[in-house]
Amino acid sequence: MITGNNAKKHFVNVILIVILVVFIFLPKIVTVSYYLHLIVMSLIWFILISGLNVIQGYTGYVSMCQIAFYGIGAYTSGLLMKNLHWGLGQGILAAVGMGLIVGTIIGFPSLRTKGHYFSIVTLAFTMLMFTILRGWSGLTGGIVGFAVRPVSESLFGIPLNTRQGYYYLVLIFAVLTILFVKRMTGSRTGRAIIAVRENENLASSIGVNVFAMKLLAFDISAVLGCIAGALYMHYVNFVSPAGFAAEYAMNTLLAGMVGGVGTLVGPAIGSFIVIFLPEMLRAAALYRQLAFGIVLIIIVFALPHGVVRPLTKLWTWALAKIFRKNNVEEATLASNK
Amino acid sequence: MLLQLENVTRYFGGLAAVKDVSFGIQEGQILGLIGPNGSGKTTCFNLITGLYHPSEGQISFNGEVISKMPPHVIARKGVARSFQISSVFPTLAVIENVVTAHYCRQKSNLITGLLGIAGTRKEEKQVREHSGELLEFVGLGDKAHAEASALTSADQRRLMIAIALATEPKLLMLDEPCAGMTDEEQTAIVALMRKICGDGIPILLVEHHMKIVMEVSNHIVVLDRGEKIAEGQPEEIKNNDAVIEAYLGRSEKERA
Ligand SMILES: Nc1ncnc2c1ncn2[C@@H]1O[C@H](COP(=O)(O)OP(=O)(O)OP(=O)(O)O)[C@@H](O)[C@H]1O
Ligand SMILES: [Mg+2]
Repeated sequence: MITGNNAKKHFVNVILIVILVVFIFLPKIVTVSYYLHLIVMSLIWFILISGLNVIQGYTGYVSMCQIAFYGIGAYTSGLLMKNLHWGLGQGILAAVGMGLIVGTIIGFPSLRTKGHYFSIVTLAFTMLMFTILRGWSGLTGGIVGFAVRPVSESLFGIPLNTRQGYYYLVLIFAVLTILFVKRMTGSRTGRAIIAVRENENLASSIGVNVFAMKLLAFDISAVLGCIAGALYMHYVNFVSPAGFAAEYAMNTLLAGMVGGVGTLVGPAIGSFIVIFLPEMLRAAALYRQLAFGIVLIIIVFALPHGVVRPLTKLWTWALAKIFRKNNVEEATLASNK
Repeated sequence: MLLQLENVTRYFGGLAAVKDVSFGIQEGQILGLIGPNGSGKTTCFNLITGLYHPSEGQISFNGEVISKMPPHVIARKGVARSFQISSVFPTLAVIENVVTAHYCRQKSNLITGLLGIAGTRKEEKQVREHSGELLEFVGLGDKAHAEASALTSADQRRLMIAIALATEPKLLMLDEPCAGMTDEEQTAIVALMRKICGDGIPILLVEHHMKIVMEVSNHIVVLDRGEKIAEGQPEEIKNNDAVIEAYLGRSEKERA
């Protein structure tokens, strides 16, 4: 039993390493630069949606302002570079700080509400943010936005102003994100956050400060959102308010739902789908948006817990086959995390 | 007194759900809190655990006034409870429910958890072992990996006791722990309560099954429409006219 579990653990680790190696050599495999671009965007969205996942999937509060944090991160590091000539690293650090500040300011009042009210309050914040970004043209460049110079830093000798170089930067952040979420959800604090999602009264009766945990989760989602925004800013070197409008809040929600929130890999799958699907539907030309919508609706209806649920089942089944383990229940619960 | 309610009153709108109630519980006691439906028993629980605060009067625990504290602070002081309506972490495995409930006494924080330092890993290991022991203790050892929502309501009540015990309480409050159980299951819970009390954790028990309350309690408080109408040894309560009028007589008739 113990040895069986250990063998399984090793097997899973080997698979994870293989996936990582594939990602490391991906720029060599994917020779069409445009696809590499989509992969970079998917990884950035993975970081963004992982943030959403912490508040929505693990805490149970459906947030409609993840896209606003994305914008705040992008503008924060962009403006600091443009006006104060800050570098990439400083810009990302500033985005982290901004995420903490804004997350706390917005979280404090909004997390006192529940259910739909929380979603509506956070949606209102997204709209407010959009209005500020567009309206405060003296600082933000208004509706046209502004451009910054490409980053001058390099990583392992590869300049970050190349698509390949930037891909590796984003990959590192994506790996750190998944490690962070995995460690966090497996820790005492992560369990307290999940306890809040499961049953707030019971959580408080075991000593969990429910409001503090909600605020912590919301701050984490804000910080991850802002990091994703800063990474996006210095990838495209241009920003305008259009990409952070309320309608994109729907895209973040969809990426979460399609992939499956409350799981580690759900946001990854959802992000790749939301970024790649519109491209694959190019053939539909004018009807692309419509087709995009229909495909997503079908997925959400057919798989209410996201694509990750059947994949997890398949994975569990495969592991059980390989290791002839009868206790499928245990494996399901373990891989659900 | 470990826990002491002094002239506690709680209004909901104009209605006093609990009115001028005083009682206390000592170390080593199992105190039965009984009364007809709607007499304010669960409200007393919610007042003690900080889910509601008293409109008047005060509650103290271990000599400290707790009646204005939030629930999580009171829990950390050592007051644990089960809920009348089954209340677990539904989508988590049974064992994870109990592991989670160790939150109260664990030391690690987000940073040490992220870094996975040796002390934290050791603590996690102890918590998992202790959770397994608690599940054995309440008789759920073989269901550790089932999803909590899939348990029968009787098993969920057992799980609630394990969750409460995981917080290492100084006082355990059980709100109808035997509801919906067969006779054998009830007997097992009675034995469990005796063991818990024997291990030095006094119990405040709300229970409608009179046989159980009379058998297991060494002191009983009777509520009716929010007010305390009697208090004493089980024998005294059985023969108290007011109690028979308000509760015992009536419920005997109801059951017949
Ligand atoms: N949150 C609340 N808001 C309004 N009224 C409440 C609230 N909680 C309890 N009450 C009222 O207080 C009274 C006492 O209820 P309580 O649940 O404490 O009774 P109980 O003794 O536990 O009854 P039962 O045996 O049915 O569990 C009831 O009339 C109930 O309707
Ligand atoms: Mg009740």
